[in-house]
Amino acid sequence: MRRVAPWLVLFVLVAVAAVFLIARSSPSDAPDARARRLEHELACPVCTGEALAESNAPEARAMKAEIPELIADGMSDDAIKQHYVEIWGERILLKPQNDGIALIAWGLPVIAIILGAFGIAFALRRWSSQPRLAATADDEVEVERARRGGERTGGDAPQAPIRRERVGREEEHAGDDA
Amino acid sequence: VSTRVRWIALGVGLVVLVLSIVLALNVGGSEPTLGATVINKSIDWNVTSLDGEEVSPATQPGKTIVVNFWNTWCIPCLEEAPALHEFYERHQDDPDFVMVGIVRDDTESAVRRYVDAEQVGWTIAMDDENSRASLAFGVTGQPETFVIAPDGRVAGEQRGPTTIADLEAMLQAARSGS
Repeated sequence: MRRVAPWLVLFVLVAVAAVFLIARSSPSDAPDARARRLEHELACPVCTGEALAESNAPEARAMKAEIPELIADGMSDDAIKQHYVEIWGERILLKPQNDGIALIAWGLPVIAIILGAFGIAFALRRWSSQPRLAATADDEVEVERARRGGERTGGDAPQAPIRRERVGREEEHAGDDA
Repeated sequence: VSTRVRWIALGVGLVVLVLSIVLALNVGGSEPTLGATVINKSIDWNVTSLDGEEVSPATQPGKTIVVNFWNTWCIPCLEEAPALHEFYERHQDDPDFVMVGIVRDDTESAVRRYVDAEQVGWTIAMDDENSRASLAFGVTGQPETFVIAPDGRVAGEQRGPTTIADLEAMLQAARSGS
């Protein structure tokens, strides 16, 4: 039981947190909350890209006064938005709708991400198919010389410069340790 | 340049082209929109003039009403004023013609001073504190001009400064019932 207890506590904590988050994130149906939400979803009709909530223009003030009345009349949020769309067109909506030309607004970022992912995949594939380091002509000559020297002397060939350098450094360290 | 790169460039070019066309079709100019096939809506509106008279389609039966939204601090409104004066001079004696200037976002004292100084002959009204006229017409700023046909239908609208030619075209559209 003792071994299970911490997991149980953790599970309860996560469950409580999840319930709390879900409860907080679900939109309230209270008239005031709906009005505030609509004020953020509708644009000020005489401003440029400004939400109704942020604007102090006369028309924005009038709409902010009108929205609670429309809610009190029993109109749904969608019906209220549609009411303003009929007057100003879809430019009054800060969030584009899911049909017609507004689909471009939703679709473009997705297309851009897909194209970007393809681009990255293509570039990675291209880079990985190329050797990171290519041997120069000098390297080839050096390797060939070392190989030929090894064949000639049966492994007791003159040391290639790199090997000579390494052996030299090892001998130096051995001297230091002593 | 490899074939694949050429195809990618062609694809990107096509996407840019399509987006340019879509944007060009959706960005409106300041030319008036005319005709019942474009605008075929009636608007419920009424305002009280500076002289205390109520003006609405109901009080002007059988007449074509030119509604101009403006204010005294708007430079384009001042720029279009000569066209409005000339247009009004031309048509003020027409038995079926009414012209109303509705002021948004301004003070009555400033408007009265302007009207006196510039000898504005047509009816001027302040939009009320709830911006009811602006909301009814779907105003997006000023100057904006609407022409209401005798049947109450909006026969033409122009967002931005108007000209004599545009005003005449909208008046013609309203009178002809097109």
